[in-house]
Amino acid sequence: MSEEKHRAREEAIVRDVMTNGMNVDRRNLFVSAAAFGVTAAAVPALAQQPAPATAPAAAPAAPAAPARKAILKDDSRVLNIGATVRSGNYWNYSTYMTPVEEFYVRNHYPTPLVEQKPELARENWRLKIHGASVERPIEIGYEDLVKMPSRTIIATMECHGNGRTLFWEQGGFTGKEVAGGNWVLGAIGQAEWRYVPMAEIFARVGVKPNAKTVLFWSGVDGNDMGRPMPFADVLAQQNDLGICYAMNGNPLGPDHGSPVRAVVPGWGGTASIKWLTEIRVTDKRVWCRLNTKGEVYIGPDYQAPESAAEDEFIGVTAADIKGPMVTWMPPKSLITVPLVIEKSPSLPANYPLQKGEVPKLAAGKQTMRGYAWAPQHGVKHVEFRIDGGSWEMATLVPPNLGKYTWVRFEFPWDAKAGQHVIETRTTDNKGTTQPEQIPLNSLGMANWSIPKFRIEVA
Amino acid sequence: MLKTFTLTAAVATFATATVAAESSQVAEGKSLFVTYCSTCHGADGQRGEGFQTPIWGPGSQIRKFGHAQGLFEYLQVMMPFDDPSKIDDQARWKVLAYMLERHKAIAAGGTLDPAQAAMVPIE
Repeated sequence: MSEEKHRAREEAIVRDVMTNGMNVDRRNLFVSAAAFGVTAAAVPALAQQPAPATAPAAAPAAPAAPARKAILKDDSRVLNIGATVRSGNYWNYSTYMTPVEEFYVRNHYPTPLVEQKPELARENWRLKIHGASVERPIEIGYEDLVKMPSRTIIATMECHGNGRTLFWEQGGFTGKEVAGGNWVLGAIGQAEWRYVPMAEIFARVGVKPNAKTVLFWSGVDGNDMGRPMPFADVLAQQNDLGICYAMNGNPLGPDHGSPVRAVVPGWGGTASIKWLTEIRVTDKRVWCRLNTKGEVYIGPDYQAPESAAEDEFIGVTAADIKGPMVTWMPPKSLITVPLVIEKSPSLPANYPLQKGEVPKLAAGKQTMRGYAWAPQHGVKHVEFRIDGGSWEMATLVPPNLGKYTWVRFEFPWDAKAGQHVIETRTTDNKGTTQPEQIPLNSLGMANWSIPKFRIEVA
Repeated sequence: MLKTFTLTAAVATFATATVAAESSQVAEGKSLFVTYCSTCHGADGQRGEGFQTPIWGPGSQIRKFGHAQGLFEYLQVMMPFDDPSKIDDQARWKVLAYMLERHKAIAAGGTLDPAQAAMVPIE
């Protein structure tokens, strides 16, 4: 997007927000795609899908409105993947920090609201920190938390399933082999998180030498949203992860875990349990839905961990353990071009391209822009390749603030008429580079293969 | 790495149950399920392109909702996942009746009374 177009878009958003209280101009979805020649009059993708066998129009009564929206976020600035899932419109990304309105959301249950769950009101909220490995269990309120020593960290947050689309579009797998939401590449954003580090919590409650697991538990978000983390991993990151109450300088919004959530920078989003009410430090290993069958690598190249009789099981059994849970998110990169959706089992309702449609770009000198991240070790460099040619270095655009942040990059391209494929790959500071393919995992977790962006130059 | 898990092993095989007299509520729920739910969950509710875990029977997670009313309220906000307003509550009860009959939470040939849904446990 050119500077002028970007400014025009920003002004349009401000105008809408000032006059309507929110941005309701759905056309801004198409601004970036318009740069590739997709007109604002493009028919929304959903209208292109065949009608179901039994058309809703044949139903005797008009469909009743659902009890409430599962997510509060305004769909004009995010991609609607499903009831509780919104991806970021990454082809529109231009800023270093992601506005909360454009930040992806992946909830397993409808966003819990204070109206239904009074315990989420700041004045009612309590966090219990206890367990067999805690010396001095405590229970604190919101005001207690915000008075504790806190830190801020700028870090990406990414859903485990981000990039699942690549399994279908370029990995050779079908919906029968890989199931889940069609995120495309936008289930990532970057925010400044304010949090009380776990180091502060551990110092206050005291941890016994036998500690094995730290369980972050919501208790409000359904009845099974919790993430057991090995104590050693929490300890290794104890200043960088913690109990978060602000995002980009504002209190957390309802979709993002208000009033308090965990933030585990660099690990897949599910580690950062929202609507947090309990932290339990225990001398046992703990198994629950997420680390048995919910957010795990299942496939021929992955081996399920073994449990022991003395382990603790919450709502699951040993037989439910299907694979190892995702932890660190791997190195990834993208350019701000909407990926062609052709082979995926579904097309997001408000995707700017129709099924199989290739984004168009005007011929001539272009600056291609993108983002790369590698939260375990940080981004070292980014390369790009056009039409299968040789890999060339992209220019990193400052800032590059450390391993938890992403970095923007750009490269010039003299676009000639015809069909083209642009690929990008990043290498982290340990020397790990994005691969061509990753092995099958049937939940479609953490696909970090080199993305292939098809572009038609007119 | 060791190859200890094969996808085919996860595909449950179902004996053809002899359901003598399916209630019309369940029969209509089955038809609605095929139209609105089977893409993601599979025609047999065991696995589809959107969701890999069974939604009824062994290995399913629906018992966490406690009773039919709890699951209904979840479905109201969440399903069909692409647009919960695609079906109305009347249709949703039928789909739920079908699911619960398959899960054996209601008897074969039985029906689900919305007014009594909180009294129908899901185990």
